[in-house]
Amino acid sequence: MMNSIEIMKKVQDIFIDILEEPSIRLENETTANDIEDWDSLTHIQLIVEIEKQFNIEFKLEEVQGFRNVGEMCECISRKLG
Amino acid sequence: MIDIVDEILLKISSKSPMHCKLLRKNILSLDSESRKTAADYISTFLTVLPEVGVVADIDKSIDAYLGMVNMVMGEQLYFAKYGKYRYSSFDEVEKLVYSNIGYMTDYMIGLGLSQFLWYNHHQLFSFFKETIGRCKGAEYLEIGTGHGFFFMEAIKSGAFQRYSGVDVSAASLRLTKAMVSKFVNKFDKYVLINKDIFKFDDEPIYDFIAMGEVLEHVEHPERFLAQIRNLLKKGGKAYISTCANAPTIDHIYHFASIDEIRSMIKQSGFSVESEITISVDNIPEEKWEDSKTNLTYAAILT
Repeated sequence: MMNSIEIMKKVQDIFIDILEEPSIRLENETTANDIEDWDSLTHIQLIVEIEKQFNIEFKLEEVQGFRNVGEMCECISRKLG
Repeated sequence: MIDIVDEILLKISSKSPMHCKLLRKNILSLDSESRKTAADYISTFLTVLPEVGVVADIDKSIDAYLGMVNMVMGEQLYFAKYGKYRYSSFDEVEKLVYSNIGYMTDYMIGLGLSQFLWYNHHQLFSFFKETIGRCKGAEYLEIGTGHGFFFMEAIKSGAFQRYSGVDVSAASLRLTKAMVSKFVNKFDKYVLINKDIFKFDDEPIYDFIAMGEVLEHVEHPERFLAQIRNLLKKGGKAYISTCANAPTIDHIYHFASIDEIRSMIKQSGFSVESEITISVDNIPEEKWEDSKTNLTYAAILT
């Protein structure tokens, strides 16, 4: 069972890989406003990779509703639990 | 000064900041002339909607557009998981989309706005505009006039003596007619025909035939290419656009690569005179094949 820090670390690695930006550091409050290349196109790529790596599936409403990284990680945690 | 494009972006930013971020990048990439064209067309488009019976102010239009964006997002997730489009038969999408008047109206508004807000759609328009500017002839035919932007641009080019637009949707033709009447006064050298293209007499009378974004919506795209061949004069040219790995609810023919499109074009007896391929996700070409990249394609055929 992964804890919230491990989930955040894994999500951060996915962001770094997909957005090709090694300096990305995620926090619960991080939003698309804080990361230059995180837009609605790359959001899909991130979601697809997160689903693959955590072996989970998001609902479309969830994908559209994340207001920040914290909400995303919380949703992942619920699905893993 | 704030124009209609700024106004739209401002409203979208309050409803979907992440999507707005993408649109701002797209709009910033336009040169000043393209930006002006975008503002003119979008502004006219929103003005004519009520004239064709669509009750939609700017806020409702933006909601319709964002509804389409969400639909595309859902289909992209499906495609990433299963590697195919959700639907493959025309009957399925006929029921869900084409015969659903409410859905179709919102979809038409969404597509109209996307023509200038989306990078790939805008690139297609530029490619078409450039091509038509170099052409000359007597008869122009457009199959599937849709929102009427391309038909309008062909008329504005003045490259042909007569312009015909054909569409199975009477609503699309009403919209096209309303768009044309806003841009050109007393222009009587065009005709809009509500007919199935396969019910045309197979006389090769056209110098130029345009068919944008049709092939991916039909079960047998090769039949449409063959029909263009039948209707095109010897020495005539055709403009086609389509896409590979580009899921939306009503895309039913899945081209898995640009080579598949080229191969169908060749089998239909055409040669590619010029072409353009756009990666929607801005993925470099060497990764296109492995990553099932979403690609938009257009070509001039001879």
